[in-house]
Amino acid sequence: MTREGAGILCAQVTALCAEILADARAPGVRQGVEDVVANLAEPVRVAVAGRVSAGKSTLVNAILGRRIAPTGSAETTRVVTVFRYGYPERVEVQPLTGPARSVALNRDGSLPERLGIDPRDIDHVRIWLSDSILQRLTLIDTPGLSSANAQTSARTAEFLALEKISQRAASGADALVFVLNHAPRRDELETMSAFRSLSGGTRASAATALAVLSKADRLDPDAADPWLAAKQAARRHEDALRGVVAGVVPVIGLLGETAASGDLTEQDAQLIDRLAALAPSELAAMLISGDRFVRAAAPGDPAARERLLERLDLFGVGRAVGLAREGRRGAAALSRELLDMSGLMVVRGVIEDVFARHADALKAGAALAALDRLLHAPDGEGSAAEMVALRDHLERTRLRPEMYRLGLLSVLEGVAGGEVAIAPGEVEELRRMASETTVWRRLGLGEDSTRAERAQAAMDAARRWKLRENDLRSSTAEETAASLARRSYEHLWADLESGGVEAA
Amino acid sequence: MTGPGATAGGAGEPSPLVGAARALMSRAIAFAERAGDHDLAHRLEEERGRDEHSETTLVVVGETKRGKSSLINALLGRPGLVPVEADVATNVAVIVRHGPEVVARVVHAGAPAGERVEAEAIADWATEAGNPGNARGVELVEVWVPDPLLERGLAVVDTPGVGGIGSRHLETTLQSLGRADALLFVTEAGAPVSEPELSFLTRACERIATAVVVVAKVDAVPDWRAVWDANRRLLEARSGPLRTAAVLPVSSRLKTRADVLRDAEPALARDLHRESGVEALRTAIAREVLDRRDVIRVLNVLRLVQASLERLSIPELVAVAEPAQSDALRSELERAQAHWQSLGRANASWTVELNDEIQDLRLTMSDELTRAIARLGSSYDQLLADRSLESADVARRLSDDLRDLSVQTRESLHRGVEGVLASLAESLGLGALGTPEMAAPALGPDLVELTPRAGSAPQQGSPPVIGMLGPLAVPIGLFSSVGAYVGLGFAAVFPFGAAAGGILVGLTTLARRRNIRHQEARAMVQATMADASTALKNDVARRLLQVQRAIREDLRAAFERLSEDAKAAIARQQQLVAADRAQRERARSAAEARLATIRGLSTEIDRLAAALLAPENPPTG
Repeated sequence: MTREGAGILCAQVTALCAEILADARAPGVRQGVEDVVANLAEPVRVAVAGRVSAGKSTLVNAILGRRIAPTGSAETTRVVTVFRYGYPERVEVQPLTGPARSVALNRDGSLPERLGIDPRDIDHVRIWLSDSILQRLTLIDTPGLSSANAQTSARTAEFLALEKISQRAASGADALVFVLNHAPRRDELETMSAFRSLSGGTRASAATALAVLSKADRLDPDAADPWLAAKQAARRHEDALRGVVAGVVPVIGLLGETAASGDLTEQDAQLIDRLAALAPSELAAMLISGDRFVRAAAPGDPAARERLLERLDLFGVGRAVGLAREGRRGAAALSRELLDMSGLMVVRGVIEDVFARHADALKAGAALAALDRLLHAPDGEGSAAEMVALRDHLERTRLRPEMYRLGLLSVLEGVAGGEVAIAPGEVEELRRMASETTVWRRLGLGEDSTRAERAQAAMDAARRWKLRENDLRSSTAEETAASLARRSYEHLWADLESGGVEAA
Repeated sequence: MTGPGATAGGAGEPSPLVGAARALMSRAIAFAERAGDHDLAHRLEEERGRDEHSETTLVVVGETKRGKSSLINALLGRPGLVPVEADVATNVAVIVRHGPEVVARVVHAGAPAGERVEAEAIADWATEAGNPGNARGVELVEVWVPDPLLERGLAVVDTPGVGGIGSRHLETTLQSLGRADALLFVTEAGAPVSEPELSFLTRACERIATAVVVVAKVDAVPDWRAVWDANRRLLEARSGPLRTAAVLPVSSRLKTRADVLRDAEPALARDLHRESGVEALRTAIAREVLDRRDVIRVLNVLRLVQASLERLSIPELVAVAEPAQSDALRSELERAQAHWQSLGRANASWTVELNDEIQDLRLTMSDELTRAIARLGSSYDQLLADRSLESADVARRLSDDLRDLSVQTRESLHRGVEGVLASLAESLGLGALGTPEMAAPALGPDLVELTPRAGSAPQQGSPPVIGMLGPLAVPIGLFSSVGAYVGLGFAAVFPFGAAAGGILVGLTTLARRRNIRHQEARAMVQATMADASTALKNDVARRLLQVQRAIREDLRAAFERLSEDAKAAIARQQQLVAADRAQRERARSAAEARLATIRGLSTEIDRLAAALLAPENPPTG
């Protein structure tokens, strides 16, 4: 997969920014627009958010394949941490005021606990790593939401620009991975909806959010197959979050983190071997609770067992011992199997698939929303006349036919969310229209089709959607969808007739 | 924490503190009577007369799926008593009391007698799976089981969780706590107590002064101690009863397993029982709730009195801060403000709508023109094919046809703009704004001097003039007239004025040359048509741009005028309101006096509550 940030929509928005910059005088506005331009040039920025201890840092570590962010049951992440692609690997701490400072990573590749600045004075931390996934997505780890320490959550809400009073025009993220531990709570739903409406304000939202059920092994510890229970739970949550997130994917984050980061040592593997030699009933009695496992009179010293538990949790220890009994020996073999079991690769795939595929729309939508906020700021710097003139640029760009693609993508999301009922063939048609780059592909024609054929096809399609739009049986959502489809085709037709840009 | 004195008063004479609380309550009741709130007085009377030896209710609360039901089963050593499954959520309150044998009863709304059911069938009545959305109209499920703790007069209530997407709102849950004497708040070892949980607990403790907090599921979380510590710190930082609340780590799962293994593996079962922390929880409930039931009840009553006094004080506070305005004045002002706001909304949306509408119109017209030209083109193909016409006739006819087309286009543009105006008026709600209807001005006579006659040269100096179609029925008075918009610069360029060169060359050539070849004629006609099409389309687009500008100007001006009017109306209303306020200022001193009484009582309650909660609380007070 290649980076798709610089697609048709991003190009349009970048051009719009250039237009605005040519006319804008107010330094605040210029700075804001320049930030938007810089963001557009980056890969899609995916923020990982959720309640305190939901497993956000664990998931980020697992995706990056190394334990770089601190994790734990209490609040561990206190600053927003942005993971970007870059070499050499390095860390910069950006204080709220003043220039960024460089910090060295610990020798084991983890982030130092002390950053040399009070966390309250840190805006965010930037880390450049050479992991290939960061070429496609920028990952952002955030402090927990709904924390009883109000300050922690305020930092995340501010960064994502979830609150109306936020100082930032632009959200720090284009897309959201929301980490859940349980059935979604009202505050969690509110966060996801707030993020969605950030981009929804421009009618532009492909799938901007995805939920991850991160401690799949803890949902029902006594279930014969915790994965089955987790998948059922994920499906239930998906129903509850229909129209808010693109899906809910279960994962055993800790297992994925340990397996992917190669954190399971040969000593650990030996301890697992020795545990495998115990009688099944003895082992089962140990694995009833974490305390029992550490305290039990069994092989290995308690510290070694505690370490193992920290790496794998009870479920992971049980499965690892099971694998050892089946003859898997050595840390590498165990890690491979545990990685499979963790579901991490599936989550990674879904995140890449959902977000990297829609990168163009996600980034363009987020950028337009940011410009909107910037140019409509009630206490903005520019003079009223200047702002009106700048807003004109924005409105004109929004009316460009290319921008209808954003609307189509949001219709498709509505289809996925069950709000709009259209036939699968039509979904495919809209998907083509929204995301293909050449006119003939958008129309579903061959490359050898003539301009006249293309124009005819566009006109026919526009008529078809027009009928649909006027059909009294259509719901309001379907009418809106049909109207958008009709307009998109009409614009395409007009362009073909007049020999416009898109026809080339 | 509890001192020895707090347990006094269970029998015989009440402790002096309890006595003081009762006296205070009498004063509050008298005050409520004087303030005219007889309902409140009655409620407080009822609370005062409540039997001291009635049962003590411990309500188990917490977010959904935190393990409240499992905890009750573990607490009572009865696996499966209250339904617990991975995907089952309790949706009706279940109250468990002491009884000689296990019996269950379902109470339906409006039928207090209840209906006896099998204890195994509770799930059909009290869970989302068995009774979705409580369609069966269950008010309460009652269960009786033999248990020494319950036998001391304890009733344990399982409640639907809070905070879930489909779950009841906080207020409903708080109200349903009703006569709870103490709370058992269930949190989870997986993560520190969250802000929504903590704020729920804080709100609940405004009414119920005693809470025991459980950190559940410690078996599954190896480092549960970190969360336990964090929770204790968070609660200690709060004020009131939460600061001293007991926080206990518990594993319902270990206890349930111990209950199941009791006979099969007694040694393991004993260990698990101890490790589960449930025994410690039972002890804490006995110590914090049952041993202090009198103090707890008095405290809760005092809280109730205090909350009620606060409610009584609200009208007084309002009177002090801002004397009430008469309803009519207020609603007038609100209406003026709402009008102002609706203007703002309409003002914010019209640019985009105008753009959309004009864009649509342009596309529709362009479509129409293309088709009309295509039709015309094919008719000339036939005409030229039968070679019966002189080329000069063809040129004349073509000129006439194009003129007709331009007139049609003009009319169609006219209708289109009318449509745009109507739809804007409707969507912006301008019709409802009550602007005066303005008569559209009559325009000049219909002077038609369209294209130059075939054969004559284009006349740049004296452009043809097109007049407008008489007076117009404009849908709303706001827009001066459709004609004014469409007519802007009409005369100068419509249809082929400035851009006529190419077309006219084609026509004049056609007209002059007698022996023109068929193919050539056809090509010229086609070229003429194509040029005409382009010119007309360009012209329509240009004209629409002008129309759009003109409408924009008009709307801007109209909105300005309307908002001036609205502002003036608001100012007028505000003056009236201010006059009214001055008149009512006199009521202020009376209100202040009553407020002072309420505050005095409230302060005394605080003092008394602090004394009751104090660990060194001496029996002699």
